[in-house]
Amino acid sequence: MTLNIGDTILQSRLFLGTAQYPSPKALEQSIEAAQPGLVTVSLRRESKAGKGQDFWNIIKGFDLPVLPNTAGCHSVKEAVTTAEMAREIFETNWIKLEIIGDDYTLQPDPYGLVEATESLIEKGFNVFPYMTDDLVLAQKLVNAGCDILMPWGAPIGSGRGVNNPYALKLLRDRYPNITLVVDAGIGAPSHAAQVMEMGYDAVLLNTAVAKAGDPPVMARAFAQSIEAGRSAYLAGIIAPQESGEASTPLIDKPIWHQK
Amino acid sequence: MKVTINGQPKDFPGDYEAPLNLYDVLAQEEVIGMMIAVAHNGNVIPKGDYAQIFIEDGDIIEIVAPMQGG
Repeated sequence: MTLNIGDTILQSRLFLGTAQYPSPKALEQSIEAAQPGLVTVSLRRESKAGKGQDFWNIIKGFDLPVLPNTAGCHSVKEAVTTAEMAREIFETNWIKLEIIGDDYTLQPDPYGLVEATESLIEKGFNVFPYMTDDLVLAQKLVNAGCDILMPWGAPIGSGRGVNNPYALKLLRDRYPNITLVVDAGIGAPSHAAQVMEMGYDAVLLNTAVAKAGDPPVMARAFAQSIEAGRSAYLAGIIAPQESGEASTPLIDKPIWHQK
Repeated sequence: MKVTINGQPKDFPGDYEAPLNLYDVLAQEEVIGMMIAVAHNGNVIPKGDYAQIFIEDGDIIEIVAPMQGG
């Protein structure tokens, strides 16, 4: 169930966030249980206390690809500078571009997103834009040079699952050759399976694992559901219909059942 | 001279004979050797260039490190 991103082969279609775990140990155990294709990371101010170094020591032990984010940025300039700092520190040109437009829903700012994407692609970044499920926004981002899009399922951390399956399906249908990742809003493994069954390429989630009663067990459950959803998509799911259709053949049915 | 480091104003001696460079500032902040990235007045400075950046009064320095993220 590998996924290719450029020249990198990801071993899983689960992208796992590293924030909000009850302890560093729970984070470590959850990554171990999930075996994700990549982990997402962020940047914060550092002092001589070296808080970020302990975290990094956990992450680098897994030797997984990392996808830095621009979480908390509200402007294009802030996001572009953060991306450049992320590239310097993590030595990757991958960036999960997040520009928040509304603090209540954490809905991304579509206008800033397109502007920052254009700027970052010009600077040589591979932009993974965290976006709403808007089709026209997707067009703008693809035109700007994105070959990956990451529409939300629902607001970050809400655990609502997919608010608008129609919009996500439309994106999949219209962009068969773009890598599509549902990012944000996932709460249960069934939500992840749902989008994988729709043909999405991967799922990015964090809170659903980190805030679960038992994060490592939930991490494993998500890994299984994403694999199951992908297999189902590849196998071809039957079309639903209104009437029943007997699954047991009726030919040579014994006579005493007939009136 | 005053330099703002991660939002906090700090005083450094201004010396025209031996001007302060970014490496000196980072050494005084005790972050050399850590996995960090540094921006000087909004420009990201590659690791190897710290000693080439000279600090002036009013400069703004941001020092960041890896952190948990979703």
